[in-house]
Amino acid sequence: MPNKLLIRQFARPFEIITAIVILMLLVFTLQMIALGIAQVLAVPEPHEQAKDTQKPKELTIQEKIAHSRKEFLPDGTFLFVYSENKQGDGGKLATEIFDANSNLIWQGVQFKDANNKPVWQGVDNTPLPFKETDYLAWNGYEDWGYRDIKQHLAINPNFSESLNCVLYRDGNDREVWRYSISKGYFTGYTSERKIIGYIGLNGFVKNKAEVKSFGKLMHWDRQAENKEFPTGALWITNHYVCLVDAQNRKVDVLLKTETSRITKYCIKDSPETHRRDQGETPSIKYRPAMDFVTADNIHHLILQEPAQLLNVQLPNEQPGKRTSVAFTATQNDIFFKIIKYGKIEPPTRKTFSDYEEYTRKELRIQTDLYKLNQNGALDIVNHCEWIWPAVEWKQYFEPVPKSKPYITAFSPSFYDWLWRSYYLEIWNSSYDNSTLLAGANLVIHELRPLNMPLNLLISIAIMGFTLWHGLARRTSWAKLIFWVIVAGLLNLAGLLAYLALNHTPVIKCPACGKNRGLEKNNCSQCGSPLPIPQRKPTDLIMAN
Amino acid sequence: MRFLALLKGQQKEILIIGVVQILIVFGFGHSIISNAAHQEDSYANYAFTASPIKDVGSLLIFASILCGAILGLTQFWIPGTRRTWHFLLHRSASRTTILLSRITAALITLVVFTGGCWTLLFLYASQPKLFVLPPTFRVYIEGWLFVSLGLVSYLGVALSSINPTPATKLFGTVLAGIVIFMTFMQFGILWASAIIAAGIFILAIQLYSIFLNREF
Repeated sequence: MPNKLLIRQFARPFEIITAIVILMLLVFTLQMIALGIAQVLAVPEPHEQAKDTQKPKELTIQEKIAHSRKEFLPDGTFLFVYSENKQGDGGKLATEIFDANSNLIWQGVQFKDANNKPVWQGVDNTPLPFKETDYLAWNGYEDWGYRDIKQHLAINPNFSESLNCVLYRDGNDREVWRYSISKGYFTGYTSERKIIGYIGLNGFVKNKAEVKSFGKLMHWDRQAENKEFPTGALWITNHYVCLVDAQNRKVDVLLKTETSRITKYCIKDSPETHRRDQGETPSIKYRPAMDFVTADNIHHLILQEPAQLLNVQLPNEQPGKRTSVAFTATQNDIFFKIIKYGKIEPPTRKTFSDYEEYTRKELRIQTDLYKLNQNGALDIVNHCEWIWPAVEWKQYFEPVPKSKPYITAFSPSFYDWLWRSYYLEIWNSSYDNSTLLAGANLVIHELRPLNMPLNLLISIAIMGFTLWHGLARRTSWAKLIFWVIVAGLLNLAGLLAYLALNHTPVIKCPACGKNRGLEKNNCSQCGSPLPIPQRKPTDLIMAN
Repeated sequence: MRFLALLKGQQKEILIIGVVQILIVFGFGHSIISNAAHQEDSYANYAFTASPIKDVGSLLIFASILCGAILGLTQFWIPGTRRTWHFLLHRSASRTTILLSRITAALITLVVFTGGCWTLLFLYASQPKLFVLPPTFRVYIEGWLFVSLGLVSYLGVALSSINPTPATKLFGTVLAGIVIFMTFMQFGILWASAIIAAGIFILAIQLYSIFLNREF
């Protein structure tokens, strides 16, 4: 026979955790409903609406430069291209082009003609000095890797998906090549479900024991859609880049980075290039190129026409530095563009308050254009700087309803500490994290107490109430102190959890006259035992 | 012997639920798979493809959770409303034996009837030439995860049914709901299994504690 008390004591922590989790969710739901209602009710005042519709003020040159596109010509010339939608001007786009010294070199408008082609009209009919396609088109890097693959493997009511390649040989003779994400190789099946063989890093093999894993798959690209690499699929794992051709049962290892793993890559032309290509015939001929960046910051360039493999280390590209890199390969040259954000180094620990402080300052931004020379080294071609004006942080947030500080006053106080310490970090890597963590991060962002003094006051009041309520009902001081702390930490949810699990009726103690709970035999105030009901006289019904 | 006798009695009581479960899961499941087999899709190469029996997943989740909830109500809520606990608990069997016999009977119903139907459906769908891309073994494991959600809902409803405290009465069912919701926020089988196992443990230990200690 198990000890009932022991099992009860063992189950008690789980009961408390259950109550806390559920009541925190309940409080969260109520707060979100209240916030939703507050948002709906927070209709802007008429004078605020009028303020919104006022004509926007004319920007200064510095502001225009900050908000302009920064473009390079293949000879290294740097230009600022500023465009602005003019209201009530038939959708015309006012455009100004400045040189590196902020001198205006062209001013005009852009609009679409009857054939939906862009037309540029300069002030005083000055011709546009550079077409859009004269600027270098840049390829950005992607680093989302495995997280996209994870989405396909998610537990969902429709089951997870599988990565396959279905091939038809000689009419109806079908082959299915199924890639195992966990094992890192393909297994081929006939239509009769018989195993044909395996395709791994070492190519096609008949026996499972011989197949070599590709490693952790980060990304793959169906090359059939890419005219530049016509057959098979590009397979990017943490240490290898391969061309896998299940049709011909062939694997070409394009890149092997055994010492350092691939962290980001650029395998396609940017959408910007395609957009530009649509308008006019490109004036720059680009080379098909891919770049794979490893954790040691070496760029491994794989180029076509002619085929070439180059390893490049960029200056000033170190982990933790706020830099942004883009690259492009024209028929004659290979360029790298490095944008360095500010001389104020961002804090090593990116807390939200530090970031807020950081963005309030004026920021000096520097762009360097590098060209790869014949020896594989980088030469600086051009360099320019501009000032990003101080950011008023509030403009990035929706207006906060006036009641929000009162609604969030019932949130746990530590939400604010969590928000300041981790929100930005988790938000920046939200796609890498679990959905649960990302969701919790958003909850903390929404419900962190905006009025800390009020929040602390409510927490203290809740602690006081818990202490007052628990004094008469206490079975031990340790339990009471535990609940006072829990109630203080979790605010309203803590109080509700305490009441749900500890509310017992009280009676007046016949010995001391104070309230006492019925959970314990002895009065918590005076130590007297529970009163024993007085025995009534025996009431027997006697025969005759 | 007492455990087996109690188990047998319980099985008789809930057999009808198991039979209905077979009819729903196997009947609808077979029909879904047969229809899907006749709709041949064209497949993009080197692409993620949805499982050909994807629609069975929703059916399995719905059937398991509903079956678990009905079992929980039948075994723990109805004796409370009919006030029959007194007669049961005065038998010579211990409370632990009574509780275990009920949980085992429910487990058998879920594993044999729901899980068995799922296994048969999976084997049917895995036949050569039925689908161009037959379901993977991972899908089979995921199906069993869905079946185990039935146990989560069963324990949640059972805990709510016998919890004597009005303020926390619904906590069992709500926790079961949270566990089910969290399972579908996972990317890997291991994490999903860990969440289900933790949920089952937390619910089961509370159920056991309340069943041993409460006065019926």
